[in-house]
Amino acid sequence: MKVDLAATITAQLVEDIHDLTDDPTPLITRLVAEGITVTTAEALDHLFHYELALTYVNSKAHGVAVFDDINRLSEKLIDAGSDRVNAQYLMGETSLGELAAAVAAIQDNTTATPRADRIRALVGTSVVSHGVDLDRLNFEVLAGMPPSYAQYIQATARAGRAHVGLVVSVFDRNNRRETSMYQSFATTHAALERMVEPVPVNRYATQAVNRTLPGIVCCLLWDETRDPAWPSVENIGMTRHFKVWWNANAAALIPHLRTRLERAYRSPVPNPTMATDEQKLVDDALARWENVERQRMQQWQADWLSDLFTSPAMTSLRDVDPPVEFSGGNRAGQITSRLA
Amino acid sequence: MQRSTTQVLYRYLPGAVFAHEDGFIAQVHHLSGRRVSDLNRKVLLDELSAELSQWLPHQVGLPDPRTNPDEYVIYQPEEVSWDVYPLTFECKNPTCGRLRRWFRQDQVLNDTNGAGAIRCLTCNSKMRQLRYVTAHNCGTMQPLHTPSCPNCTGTADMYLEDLGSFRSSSWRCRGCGAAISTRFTPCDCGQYGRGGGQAYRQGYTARDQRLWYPQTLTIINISGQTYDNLQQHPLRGIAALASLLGDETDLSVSLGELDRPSGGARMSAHDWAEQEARLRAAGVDDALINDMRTRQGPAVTGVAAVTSTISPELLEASGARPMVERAGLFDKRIVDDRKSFSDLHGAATGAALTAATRTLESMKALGIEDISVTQRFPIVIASYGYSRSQKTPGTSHVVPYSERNQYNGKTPIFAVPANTEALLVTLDARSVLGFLAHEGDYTAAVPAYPREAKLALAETFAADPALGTDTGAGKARRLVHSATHAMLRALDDGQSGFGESSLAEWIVPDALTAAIYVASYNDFTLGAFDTVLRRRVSPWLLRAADDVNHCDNDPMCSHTSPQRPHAACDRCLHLSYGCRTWNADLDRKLLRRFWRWTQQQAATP
Repeated sequence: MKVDLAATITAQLVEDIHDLTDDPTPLITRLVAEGITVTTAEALDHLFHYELALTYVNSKAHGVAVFDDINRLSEKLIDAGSDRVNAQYLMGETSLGELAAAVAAIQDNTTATPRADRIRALVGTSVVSHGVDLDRLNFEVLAGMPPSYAQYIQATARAGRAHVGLVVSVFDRNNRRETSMYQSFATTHAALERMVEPVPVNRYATQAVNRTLPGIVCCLLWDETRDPAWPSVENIGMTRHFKVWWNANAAALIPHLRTRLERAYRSPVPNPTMATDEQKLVDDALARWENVERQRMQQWQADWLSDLFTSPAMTSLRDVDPPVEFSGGNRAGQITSRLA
Repeated sequence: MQRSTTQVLYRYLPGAVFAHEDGFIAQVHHLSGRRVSDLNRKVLLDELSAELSQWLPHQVGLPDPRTNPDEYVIYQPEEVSWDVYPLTFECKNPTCGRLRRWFRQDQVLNDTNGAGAIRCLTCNSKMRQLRYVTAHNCGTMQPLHTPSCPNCTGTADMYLEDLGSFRSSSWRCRGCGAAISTRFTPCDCGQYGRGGGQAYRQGYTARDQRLWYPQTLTIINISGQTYDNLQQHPLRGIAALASLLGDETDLSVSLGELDRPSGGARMSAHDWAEQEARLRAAGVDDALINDMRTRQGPAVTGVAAVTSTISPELLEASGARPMVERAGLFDKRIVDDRKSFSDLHGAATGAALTAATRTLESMKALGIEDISVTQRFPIVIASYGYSRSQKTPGTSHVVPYSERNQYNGKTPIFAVPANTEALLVTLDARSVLGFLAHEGDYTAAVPAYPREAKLALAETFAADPALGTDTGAGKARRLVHSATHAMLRALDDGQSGFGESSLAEWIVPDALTAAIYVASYNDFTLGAFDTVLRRRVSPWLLRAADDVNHCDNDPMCSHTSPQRPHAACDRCLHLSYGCRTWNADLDRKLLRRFWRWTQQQAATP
């Protein structure tokens, strides 16, 4: 299975760097054989830049499997009296704050940071494709190919940003598409730059306004509340605060918001046909705000600003199916607690 | 831990083993959810019956859906309940590695109540689950069997020397060092043994997908009395064919005609011509002749027109579920929001009419008869059981999800229904038939009219039902599949609103029909395909045609051989997730030839 192989490769890379950091002699010896002389401190400095590995997975289940293998490696090292492998799993449910905290922690790590505290393994779904730009991320393993080459480019661009990077792609030979990707690996990579694709957005979809308006209104309101031009600045996340602020400023805010909404929805378009669609989009958005969403919002029927509209404000452009909860029975919970 | 409903359907139904994100291995033992009421049970169970008929009778552990439909209950997943599994634990101390094994969770708790932790009996180190199990095609799954030491005659000192594969790993005794292979564990089912010999369970890691293959099916979920009556009608194939031919798309009308007493046999065309000549010679006036023709002459419309002209093979083929589903989708009384491009063209005026006419020309140039859009494409994915080790019919048992004292004592089917947006594309039968004739795969004259071309092609398909062949029928099916992939990929242009991996196909090759739908199971649709139909058909089709003209992987992609008889690869036709046959039976070269031919035909005055 590709995920097993990806996990094995990741664990092996992390363990090898771990061992070399404990004793860099084999690295120094090998470099000398290549005509390169380095001191122990220089060798350790190089190794520091290669001690963080990222495993990119296409499903949460795969991520769990890889994370499990890294934890097993960590246990093995602890049992051997060495440092644990501090690993983080970043997936769809990971908040932007948690993601930023993981990135910040890695950036803050130095050779002076105790090794057991340094994050040395990341397992991530596509959430790591954007915003995870780390000089120290120079090993990456892909457990199977992402759905598109554009995503592949994004995913693999995480490694080797400041140093030479190594990316290992694991293919599934039982999958026709991945087999084909493997067979055309060299030719594909020769033309990879041509495969960057735009993010699919259809601004004129019939439900586009209904889906986006609550979120855009929330963003504009948040932005306005930080504007010192208004008499008071409020944290408007909670309805009871927002209501007071809105009522105090509504007379001036409503026409101002309308102008900003129009600007938010209107884009310059190249041809007359699209201009018609563009005008309709703007008109629909403004009409819906005036006639539906603002009326609903001013009923104040929820505790939070983002819930005051006909549908919750979007927090992601990804359409996620309704979640199913997982629960273990009482006995299962006791058993897992006794394994801890 | 949470997962989406579709992930649950493919990975986390009862019997599945999975790695829990909190770091242990678990087995799903129960799934609760809400009863699905807005789903056509009859269609689902008929399809289940067809699916189960592919397996040998002794391999199927489910009730016969035809004779015992009430034994089934349909749920939409809402909560997954799991147990810790397997209950075999190994000591974490690498110099020990000894095992403790239980068969029930209460035994684990009773035996470890004193310590309050699961500890090694020898060195008191922490333990962890042994992540290997064995499974067999018969559906059995067991924790890895720990053998007794041949010298010390016990399991107390045994540990697993894990070298990464069952072939190289072995059981070893800490006491005497004896080693025993891990490779073979007999299964007492007595089935699936090589050459009829001893059956063996295979070892797997707990996250190996071969441990649990969900058996799923997909149906079009159309409810309503008309559709139910159609499904049950012995001549439903005639109504489906009448819809395909364009004779009658209103299924209630077709059913009415099928159930109406015939009022006497109609004459053949030849007999009626002789009769009409006699009537005219006798001086009977036109009005009376026309009236008699309506009642006694050969039928020219509706299901009666179909009945008199088709072979028994076509009647049977037309009654197949996909053909009937297609007829349901194209009945505007059933899917009432379906909007065809010809409807848009008919309603357009001025500059919009000019643009729509150009779009129709683009469609004709690619051999496309019709493109429609609906916001309520009623697709359902359902899972009725699972198999282990093998997934294809005949190679393993199908195990149901039923549980004692659960699901009201019935056999559950887990289903996720959706009403999503879709583009429905129908290729032009005359173009396909003409192309087959051009390629030498159709030797009769190509009919001049679309209806006759559809009928001729339908007869061709019915006479050759095998898939994946290189006959005319096989090529036409491959053509429909390849064109669907090309068009689906071309929708990923950044402006349709969906990436390729968000889309999926539903095809009825024998009706030259395909749906490209948004693989989303949310309560809402975006309405993006509506914009595509209104504004972007021409650029979309142009991109599709352009993309099959050459593949970035050429000449490698175009190179065919006996091992790789058709040209298709990840850069031209393969889909990430949306293909029902995992990218089998695709041919870009065939599609390219077809579109070049249709473009030449369209350019010829």
